[in-house]
Amino acid sequence: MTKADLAGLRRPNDPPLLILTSLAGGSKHGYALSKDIEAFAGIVLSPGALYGAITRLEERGLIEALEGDARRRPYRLTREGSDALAGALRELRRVTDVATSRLAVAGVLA
Amino acid sequence: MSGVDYARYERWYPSAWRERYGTEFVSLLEATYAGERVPMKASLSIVRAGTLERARELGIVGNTVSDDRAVTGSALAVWMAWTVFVVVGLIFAKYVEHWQWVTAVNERTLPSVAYDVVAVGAILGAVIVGVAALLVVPALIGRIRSYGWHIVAAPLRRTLLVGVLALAFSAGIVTWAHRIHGASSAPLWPNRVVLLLWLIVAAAAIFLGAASAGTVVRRVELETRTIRRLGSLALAMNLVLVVIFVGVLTWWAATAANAPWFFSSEILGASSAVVHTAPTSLPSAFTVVGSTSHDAPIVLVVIGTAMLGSLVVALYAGTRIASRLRRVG
Repeated sequence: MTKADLAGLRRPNDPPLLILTSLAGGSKHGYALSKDIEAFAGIVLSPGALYGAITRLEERGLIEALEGDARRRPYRLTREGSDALAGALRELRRVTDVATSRLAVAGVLA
Repeated sequence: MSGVDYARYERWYPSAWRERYGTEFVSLLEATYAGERVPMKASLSIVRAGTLERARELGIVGNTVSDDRAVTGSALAVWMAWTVFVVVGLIFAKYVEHWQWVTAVNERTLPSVAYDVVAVGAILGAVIVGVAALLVVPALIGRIRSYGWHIVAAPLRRTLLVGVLALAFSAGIVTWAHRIHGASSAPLWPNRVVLLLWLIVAAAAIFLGAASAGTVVRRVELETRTIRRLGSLALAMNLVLVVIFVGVLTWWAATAANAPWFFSSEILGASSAVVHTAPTSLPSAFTVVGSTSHDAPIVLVVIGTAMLGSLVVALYAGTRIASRLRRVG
């Protein structure tokens, strides 16, 4: 996984990462994505940020639009999108694992 | 029935984007705000995202466009920076036109050289723009001959309209400025309001003009050779902009050091406020009406900031051109 592959997927609150995470649970249209992200991450993505991220993800082939009503077009993860999400999670997990073990040694975490 | 027209928000985005995402984007706005006004923060986010999308489409940002498009779009950004330099440069020229009058003869060398460097830079820049125009015009004419006026009519009309409005406003301001020229007792705040208004109109004209120029350039198919030459000219223009900026800063610093009374608000660009008696024994040779000297007057700060901002854009675009120029075609 290269740096370019992980563009926009490095931080937990990056809109592309939030969108991929949401779509990992099934296909959704823009409004459903927005509500799902708000529910699981507590982050309200502005329409500009949401559609900016959707545009880039579709350009990179990480998500694709499904046939449907043009007003509520659903999106789903592609194979490349699933791989990119898995790679991003591995990167994030590496950091959280280190933090968890260090806090455990310090007695903060059981 | 909601009175909010959510469709107007999609106008911030380029037409290709609207065609692909516009309907669902408006539908998202309708579902999210349900007849209420879009909050200011979300509106600004849309403006930012739409502008960014336009910049991407032009090739000024992002890695998803071809090298040809990236070089052409970045060159356009450099021409836009040049336009800003022209506008604020004209203000600068008017503003400093009588600086020699208040500077001792033996202290004129450095500001004089700096001023001349700015003037030579301006001439070089105009030549570069002229050559660039000569490169693009044949392609534009060929395109119009093949497809008709309609492919460029709308953006050209828009540019012409905004340009004429800006010029008319500028002419009005120059006339007004000359009328108040001798009135040293005129309060400063109306001048500043008018200056601010003019800057807003000029900025709007520049950005709308650039957007229209972008549309025209996108519709004109340029040959690889022409794109390479345009890219090289834009790089040369980068150098010119740096030279002009350094010249302005040098003139400012030298004048602030040698003739700080020039920046006294009462004598700026208004020679009639200075009672000029003899150029050899400054500063006692002239009288400054109610002098309150200040090394960083608002006009020079605005000029410097506008130039610096444009220079940053031009240098960014120049870096983009330099990294892609060899891959064009």
